[in-house]
Amino acid sequence: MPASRVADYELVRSLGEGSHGEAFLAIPPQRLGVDDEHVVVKVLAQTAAEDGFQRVVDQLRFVASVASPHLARLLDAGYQSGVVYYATEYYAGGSLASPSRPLERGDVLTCLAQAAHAAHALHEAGAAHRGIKPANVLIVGDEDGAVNARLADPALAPVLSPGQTTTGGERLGALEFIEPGILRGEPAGRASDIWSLGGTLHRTLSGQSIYEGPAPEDIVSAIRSILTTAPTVSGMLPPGEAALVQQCLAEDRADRFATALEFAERLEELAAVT
Amino acid sequence: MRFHDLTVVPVAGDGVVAHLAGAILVVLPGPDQRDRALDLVTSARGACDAAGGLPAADLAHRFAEVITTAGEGELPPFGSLADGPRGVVLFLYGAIEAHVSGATDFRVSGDEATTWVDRVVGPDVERVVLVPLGTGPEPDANPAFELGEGVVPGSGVVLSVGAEVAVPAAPERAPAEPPPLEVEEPDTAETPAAAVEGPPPPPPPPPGEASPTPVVPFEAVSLLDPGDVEEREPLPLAVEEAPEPEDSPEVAQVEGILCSREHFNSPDALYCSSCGISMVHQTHNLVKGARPPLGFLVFDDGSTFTLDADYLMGREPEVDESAGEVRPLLLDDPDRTVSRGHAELRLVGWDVTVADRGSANGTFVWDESTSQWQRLVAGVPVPIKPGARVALGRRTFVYETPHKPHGA
Ligand SMILES: Nc1ncnc2c1ncn2[C@@H]1O[C@H](COP(=O)(O)OP(=O)(O)OP(=O)(O)O)[C@@H](O)[C@H]1O
Ligand SMILES: [Mg+2]
Ligand SMILES: [Zn+2]
Repeated sequence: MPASRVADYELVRSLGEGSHGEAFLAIPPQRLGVDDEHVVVKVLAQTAAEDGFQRVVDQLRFVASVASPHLARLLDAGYQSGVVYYATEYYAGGSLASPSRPLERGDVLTCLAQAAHAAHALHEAGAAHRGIKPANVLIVGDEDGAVNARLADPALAPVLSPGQTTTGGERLGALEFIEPGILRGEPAGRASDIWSLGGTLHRTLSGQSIYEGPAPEDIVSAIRSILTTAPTVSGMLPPGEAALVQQCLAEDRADRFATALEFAERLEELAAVT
Repeated sequence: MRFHDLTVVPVAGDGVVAHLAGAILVVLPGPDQRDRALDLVTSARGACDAAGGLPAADLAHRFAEVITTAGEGELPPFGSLADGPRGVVLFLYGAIEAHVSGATDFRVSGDEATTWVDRVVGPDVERVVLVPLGTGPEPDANPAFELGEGVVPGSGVVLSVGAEVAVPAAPERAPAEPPPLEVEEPDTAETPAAAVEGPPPPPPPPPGEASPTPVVPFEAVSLLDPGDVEEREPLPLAVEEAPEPEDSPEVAQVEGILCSREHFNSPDALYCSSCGISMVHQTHNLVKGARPPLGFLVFDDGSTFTLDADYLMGREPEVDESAGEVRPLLLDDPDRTVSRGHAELRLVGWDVTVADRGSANGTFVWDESTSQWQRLVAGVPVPIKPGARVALGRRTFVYETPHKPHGA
């Protein structure tokens, strides 16, 4: 049973657990001054000391200051008895991992292009996202027809705990969206986020992992296998999409799209010729 | 700061100062007058009696809770503080400021947060001054008027600690036997509710109350208008050389060998760690280069850490003096089998070494040849092999590296 309250938010129900903690649908306190009926409160699993909370606040304020129509809107960050939380706008359309209505191929391309635009805005401002995956590409609810996506939840584990690359909260499946270079200790950057965008496109269109075969059962073997297995693009993808994914997943970072913007534009071209 | 040997000197004024069971409470007169402040302190005192034996840090929170849920009328500014397991807990509401001095000096005030400020400061605190906003760190307080336990008129306090009294750390579980021999299953079952420390939340307010008051104090920062944010450089393109990370000291230089595609590798490498090409037929000319990350650690809960810096691991690694030069790696451990500063991991050349820091339960390395855990001698760094399993109390990690063959 989750607590019925986090700070002065009233929790309505859990939306699920992710790499960093648990997300709750919640009723916002008046002090926020927003008229949204519901917002989402993300409660981080990793407890923090005061200085860790301050770093999270700095990072979230930084993300909040980046102007992009496709970044999820951040509302509030807080700290209660060692637990860190933050609140974002609630998007009723689900995510690319579980959309509230079935998405057409063109919709997927559009959502992903928008997420790539958001990632590009972050990169230009000076930060990598590090957590791009289908569950973090959220879909704005009903806007007669046209889909509209928001990129949410930049990774906070490396901010809370410098040097940390995975939280352990990832179910093994989520490892497929982490660039192997990051696991090896290379710094995150445009290229690692572009890799994750490619993995997200692949998973959303094909329903399959870029790593073939049964998933290993424990994290050590999963990481070992990721570091020694080259990703493969599913034959289910149309050639145009397959080529884009391939380029995102290029082993050498310099062989990928130079910017997320370039990837977004290629997606838009593809979506246009549907 | 250990609240033994503590001097509490009230600052004269119209509010109320209380020192109860190790926790300190200051309520300023506020919009009403002293009666209101006194009422609040009286209810806080009731909570103190009811809570009998609650640790002081929890009591300080309890005071805050009693006051913030006290009902109608604007709340007067108030502050509470006490010593807690992670340092001094400090709670401020409204126009009240605290000046903390010791290992670091700083000022914090209740009006910095939209709600209130709830912080853990310290642990190396020598003096705390709690006074009305704008008073400054040197209020008029005559040390002759020292307060033991009790409630007196006043609008602030000056707390100072005499000689530091060493207090034994919370009891650590004695090492009944060497740690478990198997890497434990990933432990992901912790719920946020279980992670919350502090006093148990009081029952929710009765329905229909105008604005329900939060039950456990918190600190909140609005992100709606982020205001001035430090500007950063755009991320480099992959084809450009990535600039050296600013906050890490310049990367260590080590000697290594180059693969046929010029990737820099450990002299022991059989295969290139970047492209996987065999190194056997390479001429092994040593060249100097920037040390790449030496691999990573995978903990029993599935979290991973990059080996591009030294780490101090423990339950509260920040409190350690040497935390300035190494990264703190905080190990959650509800059973407290891990010490505050338990073990240190250092990168030396192409090797990774582990040293126990005199932890209560010891640091162990799994020895394949004898199938036993080997306890490390405190303070003596030992290089670990790729694939090595290391135990700190109940927590374990495995060291993985692409640079050396397993068993090397
Ligand atoms: N702002 C939001 N609006 C709507 N749904 C959301 C929102 N934030 C999260 N969700 C959904 O709630 C569920 C849990 O989200 P959560 O962010 O905790 O996990 P995650 O996205 O898998 O991992 P991560 O910690 O990396 O973000 C997911 O299905 C996610 O799509
Ligand atoms: Mg998410
Ligand atoms: Zn090579």
